[in-house]
Amino acid sequence: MDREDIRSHIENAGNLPTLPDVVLRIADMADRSETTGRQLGLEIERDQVLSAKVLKLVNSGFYGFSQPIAAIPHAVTLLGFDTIKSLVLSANVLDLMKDALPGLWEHSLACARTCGFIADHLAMDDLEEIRTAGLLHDLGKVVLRQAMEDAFARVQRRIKEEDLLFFEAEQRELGAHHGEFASWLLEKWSLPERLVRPIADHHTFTLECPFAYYTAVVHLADILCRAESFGRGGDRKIPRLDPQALALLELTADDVAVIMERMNEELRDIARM
Amino acid sequence: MRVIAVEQAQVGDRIAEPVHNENGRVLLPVGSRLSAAVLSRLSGWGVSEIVVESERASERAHDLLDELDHRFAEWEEDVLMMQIKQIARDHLSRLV
Repeated sequence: MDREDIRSHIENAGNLPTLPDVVLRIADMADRSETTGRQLGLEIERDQVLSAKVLKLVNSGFYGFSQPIAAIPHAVTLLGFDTIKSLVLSANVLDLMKDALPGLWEHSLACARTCGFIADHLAMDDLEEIRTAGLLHDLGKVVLRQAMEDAFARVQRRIKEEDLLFFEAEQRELGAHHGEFASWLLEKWSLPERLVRPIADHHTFTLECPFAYYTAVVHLADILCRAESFGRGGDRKIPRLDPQALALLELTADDVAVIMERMNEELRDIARM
Repeated sequence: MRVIAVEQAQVGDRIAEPVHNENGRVLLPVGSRLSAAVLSRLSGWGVSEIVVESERASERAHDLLDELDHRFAEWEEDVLMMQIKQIARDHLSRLV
């Protein structure tokens, strides 16, 4: 089975989440400057399943609010359009991620929030997009499990027997990896390259990657979350941090230490494993 | 928390769900720790399984540090990776 076979398997899998029209409509509304918070809230509330999923995600620890948020309009006011848009996009994969691998949800949440800390440290503008990329960076592992259960089991066996990274086991077993698997699904959903490429390349960072700056943030966040032991990525290893990624972000080892201190302080609600 | 057979229980394990006798009387409340005396009597009380907190904090931190060593084993020569490991080690050590 080659990469193209796997791709077609993933693109045609019946059990992967689809992006319903309502999600695309809301994402589109959120992008338009004339949309009011009230309009956006009403549109989301018209879809009860989506409303429930968005509220579940808002209250899941993604934001670390101390008080639960019970209403969509409240969520829109509190979080702003960009956040709501990325939440709507992420809401559909939430449940799948919780079931896929023990600890993957915690790892993904920690990575989302760490992407936020890094973006904050770098004074980046589009905080929410990079957080969403962090949340979805391992989506490909879920995609593989849903679309090709046998291949997923073979990868897992190989991780255990040879003590490999999930990424390495996929490469050896399938000749492709979870970054690509996620990107094939997200491209099918017509999500922007800015969001898709950092997810696709978080294990294969080079300075030539499209959106290399964003990719470097997700690459760094993934490694810091594994170092700090937040959740599990499905293996017992850690990838090597590419010094070129740090150089591109103009971060020093001291900056990394500051970011890790913030993780240690602010991610207390996420389990270490 | 985890369910264990009474034979696996150890002195110091913390009870996560109350232990009752056959009449429903609470023998061990949530949060109590197993003493050697209680441990020796559990089987006699007709208790076969108990629910305990998953691990003692010190053991948990110890396990996390072992996993950390395993995770970083192949990067011993990489200065940057060792710096990251050291910071994480300090954080994990403070969990005890």
